[in-house]
Amino acid sequence: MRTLVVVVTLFLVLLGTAAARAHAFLDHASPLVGSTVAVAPQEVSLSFTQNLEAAFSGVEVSDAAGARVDQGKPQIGGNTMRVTLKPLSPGTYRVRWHVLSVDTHKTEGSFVFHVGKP
Amino acid sequence: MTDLLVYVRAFHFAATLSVAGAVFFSVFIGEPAFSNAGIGTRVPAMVRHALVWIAWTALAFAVASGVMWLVVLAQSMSDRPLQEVFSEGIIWIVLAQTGFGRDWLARFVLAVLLAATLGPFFTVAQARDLNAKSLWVKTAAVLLAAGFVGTVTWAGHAAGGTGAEAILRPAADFLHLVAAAAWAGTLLPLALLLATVGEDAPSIAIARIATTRFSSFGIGSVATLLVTGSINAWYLAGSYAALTETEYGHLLLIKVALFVVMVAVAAFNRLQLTPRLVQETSATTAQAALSQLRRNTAVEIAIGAAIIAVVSVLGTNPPGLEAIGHTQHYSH
Repeated sequence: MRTLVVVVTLFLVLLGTAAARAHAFLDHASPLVGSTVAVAPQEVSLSFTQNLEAAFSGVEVSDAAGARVDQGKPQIGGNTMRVTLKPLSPGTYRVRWHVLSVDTHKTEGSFVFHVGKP
Repeated sequence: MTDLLVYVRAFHFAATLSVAGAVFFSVFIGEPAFSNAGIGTRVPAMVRHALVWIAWTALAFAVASGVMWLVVLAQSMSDRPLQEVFSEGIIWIVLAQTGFGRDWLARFVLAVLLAATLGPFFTVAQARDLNAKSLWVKTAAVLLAAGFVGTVTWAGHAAGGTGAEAILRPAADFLHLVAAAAWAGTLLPLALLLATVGEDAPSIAIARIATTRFSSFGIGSVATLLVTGSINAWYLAGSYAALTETEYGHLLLIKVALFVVMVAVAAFNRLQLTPRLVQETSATTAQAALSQLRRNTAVEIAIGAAIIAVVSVLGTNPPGLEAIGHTQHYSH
């Protein structure tokens, strides 16, 4: 009986261990993260370390004032996500992405890039 | 929600292993023992009754926990409150538009097919003459049970590889789960069988055949678990750093340690106790061996449950090699 209690307790303790999760990390982006590009890009393209589930992934690009500059639905396939941009004037832009890996784990992040002089 | 997912996983693993184990036990261990020595003892009737009960209950729990797993994931995937999972149709999006959802639908179909087969299976299992129909039903039940337990791998880390890895890892995972069901899943029916065995000659005879067959079955399972487990460990945590510096690696080491202890107990059963039960003509020795086997089988079940607990947490962690390679901040 005592053995049973010890074992059940061990079982529950092991179950209760806090767990972190696996993620699709941003592998590389275009424009490069933190970079300055002379010519305004027509799209932002993101590559991740795992394949994505389109139904639960998205990206937003906004200018320094917070207005959205992406247009249309993001195109998601395999491990990449891309979205078309409106014509951009020189300035700083922020990309906010959130993805669901096929492993069912969510990740999100953001980075900036600059157009013209920083 | 992460803790809830761990409990749901554990429940689902245990239930799935149990229903598959009941089918495997009936076909490979129980009925062969009963057909050779089943006259004049109530053991076959009692064990068959227990197997039916285990299989149906476990299958029901497996389906219920499978649904819960889907709901918990749908909530975490969408980051919405639980009620919106149904009211906003998120669960249908997950089912139709994600890899996990489609895999889970396929597994549900397998569960339904297995349920349809279980009734006929337990009827023909007792049939003494082997005709074409009973062979078909038994084969179908074994394959469906193996398929249902093996495809739990679709919820794991095996997906997403390239090249040879894309075939090797899912295959290794599948066999790993089937072998786990063949060993851990058949322990409970064995324990119940041993519990019903008395001191009369016919039931001792059944115990002898059952433990001998379980032994051989177990060796094949352990060998499969070793090979497939090594393959998985190599791909997921195949470096010293990954094993010693990540939570994933630590849990994996615990799992391996538990596995080693379980094999040690099983080895003692096979090399010491089973021969004493089978070969000794002294009734006292046989009964002593039987008594120890009952205890050791219970210990093995407990260790198996602990391994399930570890695996339930393990799968929610980033695999060791990935955890080592990425130091980016992540959201949750």
